[in-house]
Amino acid sequence: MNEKYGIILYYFQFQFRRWNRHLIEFGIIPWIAYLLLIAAFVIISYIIFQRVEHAQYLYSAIAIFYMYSQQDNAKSRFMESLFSITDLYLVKVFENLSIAFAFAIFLIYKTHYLTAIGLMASCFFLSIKTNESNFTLKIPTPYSKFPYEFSIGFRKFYLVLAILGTVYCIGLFVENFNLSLVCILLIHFVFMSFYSDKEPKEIVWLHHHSPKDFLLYKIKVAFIYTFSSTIIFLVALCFFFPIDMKIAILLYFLTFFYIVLFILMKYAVFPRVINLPTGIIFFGSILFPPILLLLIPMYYSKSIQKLNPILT
Amino acid sequence: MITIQGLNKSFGTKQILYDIEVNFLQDKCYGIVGNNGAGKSTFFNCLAGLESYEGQIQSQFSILKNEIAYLQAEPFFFSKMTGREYLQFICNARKIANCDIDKRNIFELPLNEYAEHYSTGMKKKLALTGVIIQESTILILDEPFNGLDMHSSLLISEVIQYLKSQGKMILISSHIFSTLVDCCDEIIHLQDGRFVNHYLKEQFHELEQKLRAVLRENVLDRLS
Repeated sequence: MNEKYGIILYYFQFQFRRWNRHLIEFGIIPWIAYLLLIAAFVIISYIIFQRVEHAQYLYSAIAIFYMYSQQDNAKSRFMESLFSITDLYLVKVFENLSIAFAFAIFLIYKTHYLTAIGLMASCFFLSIKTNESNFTLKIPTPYSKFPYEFSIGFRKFYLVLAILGTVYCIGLFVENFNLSLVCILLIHFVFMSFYSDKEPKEIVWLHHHSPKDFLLYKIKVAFIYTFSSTIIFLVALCFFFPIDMKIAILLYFLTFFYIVLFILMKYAVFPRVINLPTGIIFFGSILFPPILLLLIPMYYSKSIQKLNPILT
Repeated sequence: MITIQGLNKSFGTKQILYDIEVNFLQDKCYGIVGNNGAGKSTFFNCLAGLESYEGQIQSQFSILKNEIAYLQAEPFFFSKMTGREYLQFICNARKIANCDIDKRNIFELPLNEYAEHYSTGMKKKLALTGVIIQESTILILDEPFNGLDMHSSLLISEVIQYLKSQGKMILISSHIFSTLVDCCDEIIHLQDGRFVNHYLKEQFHELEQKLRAVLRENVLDRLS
């Protein structure tokens, strides 16, 4: 085999081994995890196409969001020292194609050929981005007053947020209430993902708060920034679809409880990241929202226990 | 004043610190010297409350950690966070109202750039600015001179002298003995997890001789 492709193949084999290590650490046998992932992917794809009109736009946005979230500048810089520019570009393209491929197959199955082609083409575009441009480009953020999760998350996911905002507007334009509503909810889930990064112990230690104050502070910042960022979307949605106003308001505020739960879960397992059982419980709560009434106090109490030795 | 009695620390079966007994007084600057792996950073982590330990650490403060500003040997910086946001984050975390970041930018750092893109020396200066901005009573500086050029080292020495004159208790570890001589009132020798000796200012020369002798014995003899 050509040496160049041999190196790239080795890189992907190595990534596969790393994935397996993560899964084992997460507490699941890799091949079971892959079967579950495929099953979950197919089921969720069906649900999206069943529930949302013009779902192909949202579906593509999710794919691009996922590809974008996988970009890591530190990793890119390291890889740049190993690979030539062409090889690095090829690696990135293959990485993005491997993600987009699954989504494209489903789009083709649903006969959205043009969207599928567009999605595959976006892989080449997303791979072009260089470290050099990141080095000099500082993305302004409206979240600098309370910097950390939102300021960093916004800079990482601004493109995804822009896409979701655009799809939301398309939803209004084509009079598709569900599409616009799902976009708002997805923006909230993107905000929630800002809290998924591992936080060093010394960063929590730095806070001059009691555990209770610390959690309330985190929740307050999340609430203020989420509300101030998306309330305008809700107002516009209610204006254009007054009949569906109640469901929009209900779901809008329901997602705040999920953000609260996610923050509490993060600190309930601190300093580790959220593990598989906690993740399953979280997704279970999405399927059965009333359980939030039980989970929020439970994880609040667990978080306090975990934070006590660090903050007091 | 901080009183430490019978401090022991282990990671699994490996014991790092053994029966540490020491008093630290306000207005004083203490240096801690020891080889790599002697337990300096672990000792600081225990003192700051970042690590659990056996033994007692007592002070007049109800929550000691809230009085401590800690410069770690390898400060952590978030990706995609500017220097200004890093300092603002510290002010928020420490509940410091009216945080005049520009006034406190004593090292004239480019605060609007991402901190992750700073050079090693600039990162150290930013972290040190973060420590100073906290206005804490106790400062722990773990290897504050690492990665700094001569000018910056001198500047940091001056900053430490100033902080001492403001009545702060300062604990410093450094591999550069001369920097400790300039700043410290007392130097403690940490060897294999034990505080083997305390040296007052007039005895620093004696400590330096001892450290040089050990160095000659352990390294230079092997080289020759």
